[in-house]
Amino acid sequence: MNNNNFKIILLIMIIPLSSLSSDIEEGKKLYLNQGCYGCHGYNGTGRYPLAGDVSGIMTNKDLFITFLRLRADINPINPSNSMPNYSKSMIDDNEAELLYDYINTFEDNPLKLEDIPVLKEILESATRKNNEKNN
Amino acid sequence: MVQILKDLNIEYIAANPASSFEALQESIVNYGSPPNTMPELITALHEESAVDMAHGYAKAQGHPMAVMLHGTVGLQHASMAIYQCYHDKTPVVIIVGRDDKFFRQEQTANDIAGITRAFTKWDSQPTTLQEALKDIQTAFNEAITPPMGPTVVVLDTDIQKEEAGQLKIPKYKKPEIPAISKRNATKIAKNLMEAKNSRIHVGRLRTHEGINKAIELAELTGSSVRTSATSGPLSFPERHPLCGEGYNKDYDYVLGLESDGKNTSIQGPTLLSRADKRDLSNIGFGFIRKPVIPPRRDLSGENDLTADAEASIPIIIEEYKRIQKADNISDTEEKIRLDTSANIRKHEKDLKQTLNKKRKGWNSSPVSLGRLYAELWPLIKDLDWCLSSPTVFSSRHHVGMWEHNKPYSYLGMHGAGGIGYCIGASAGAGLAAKTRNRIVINIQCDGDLNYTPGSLWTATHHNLPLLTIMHNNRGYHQEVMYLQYMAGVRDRGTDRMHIGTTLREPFIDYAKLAEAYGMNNEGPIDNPNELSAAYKRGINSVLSGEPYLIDVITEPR
Repeated sequence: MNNNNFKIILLIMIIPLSSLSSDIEEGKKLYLNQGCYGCHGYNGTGRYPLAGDVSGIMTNKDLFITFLRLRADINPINPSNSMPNYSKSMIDDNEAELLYDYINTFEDNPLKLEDIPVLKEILESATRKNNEKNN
Repeated sequence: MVQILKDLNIEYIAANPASSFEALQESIVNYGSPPNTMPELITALHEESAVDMAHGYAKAQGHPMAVMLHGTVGLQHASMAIYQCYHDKTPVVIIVGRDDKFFRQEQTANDIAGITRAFTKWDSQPTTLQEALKDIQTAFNEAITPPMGPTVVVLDTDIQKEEAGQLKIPKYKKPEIPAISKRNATKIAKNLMEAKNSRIHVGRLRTHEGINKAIELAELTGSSVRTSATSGPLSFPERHPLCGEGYNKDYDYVLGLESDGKNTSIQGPTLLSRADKRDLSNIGFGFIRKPVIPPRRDLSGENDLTADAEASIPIIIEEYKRIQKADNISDTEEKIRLDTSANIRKHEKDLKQTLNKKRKGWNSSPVSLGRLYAELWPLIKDLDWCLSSPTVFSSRHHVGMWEHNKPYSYLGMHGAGGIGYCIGASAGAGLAAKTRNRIVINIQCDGDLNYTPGSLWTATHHNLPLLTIMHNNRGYHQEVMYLQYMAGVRDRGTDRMHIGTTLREPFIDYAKLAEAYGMNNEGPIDNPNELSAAYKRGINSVLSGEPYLIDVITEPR
């Protein structure tokens, strides 16, 4: 491969990567600035988790954006700490997509219960105690 | 006066020193042998903290402690904490010093107790020493009689300074707590006996002894039990074999003890019953005004009895024993066996589900609240512990994982949701724990600590067995969420919701704050793998009589 071809291939590889990375950064900025972490956690593992799409709203972009807009139908009951409504004027479709892409980077793959010593100990200790009660 | 407090088993009296009760304070620290015991004077750095301490102490101990406040200004400083005690039906004896001759006339008034009358249960302003002695006894009795609450005695400095001479201490008479009639007790005992699958709902009782009586009743009748021990203090032990749904959820007789019961409820008088006598200018505080919003269960059914449940239990037990027959005993034993077995199976299933939820964000930084609670439980489960702080803002992760088996396992909420309660109430729980080989766990919200951090010093100064773990999410996240929702309703941005709701630029260093008050400390910790070792160091310090604070950077919720 001559030097020029190599440069072209490298450019093709780098451009989307850097653009992806900056998109993710933009999404992250939106996530933090809009205060999503308040309910969903800094890593999408908060009280209302997003990592791993446990709620189903991350199934695809359209569903996610529809969910953001859907909240407008909810009557305001103040004070409420429910999910706010996000209209286009607050987060436009492009921003919503950036947000979606960033949230999709969240991972939560904790070990199984049996492989987390503290949790295993709690379970086993309770079982031992219960066995004593039963006897 | 001090002898009266001793006779009433008042262990502690908290105060921030002032010029209107120096005569009483001098007696407290000098009278008796040894001096400064029963009550011991506890130095509070704010009057609100003093009352918060009394609040936490009473919930842990089922017995009041006392507080001294300085005139109009001290009482006003304390008023929010008193308001919370009132809503929380918590007994506290408050002595307010009054000095009409003091050059600061703003600090006295004709009727100082009037400032808090609408949310105290009883008050007096005696005019002689003899009256004062009697009134302190009455204040104690009124505080512990349902509906329990804070009471106030305003003591003039002249009375405090008067020599007792030959004055006799009035004979103390315990209050009569209104129980159900014997006729009703017989009816309830009969219903419990005839039921094939009876159940008892236990709410918040008054004393530790009351809980023992509730256990006796459940075991005698073979009733399965619903407890409120994960919501607040002084209820049925959560892991008692009879506590749970039992083997069959089709209950044929449900008795409520300070709780709703499908068939019969015994509940003490409400605060509302006092409103006409206390809220003379009709301020109309929520929950103690008519109509109560949101509506609460009206105790007007034929079998709903307004009486103190705890005082009623012994009569029901007595009646049950009187009519009990031999074949009832074998039926009861079989029912207990079935219920125990079912409750154990259910507990194991539920616990596994609960623990699985704690895995969420297990290795994340900031620290997940599930892990914050989970790492602590194995280290304290074999100790005598008390969780003193309200846990609603840290998502109540103790529920379902920790075992709430003592009257003081969890002390519940603030009373009226007023922030600033946590550290003071925890210090009060620490006072209750100090001589009882118990440790107190305070999962402390950062916003709350900034109201009254001086209690960190009180805990250190008095060597209270208190482990404070900061739930440091660097903000008031409930309010962040309210603002976000509001912005959504108005179709405006949520990117400025941190204004006025977050604690950043700069971050607050709570380890340094503890350091300033002389408390052992470490942190901030944002790596969850460092939690367990930090907890161990904290517990060791607390067990050796030195309170400890660990600053943990956490997820918001």
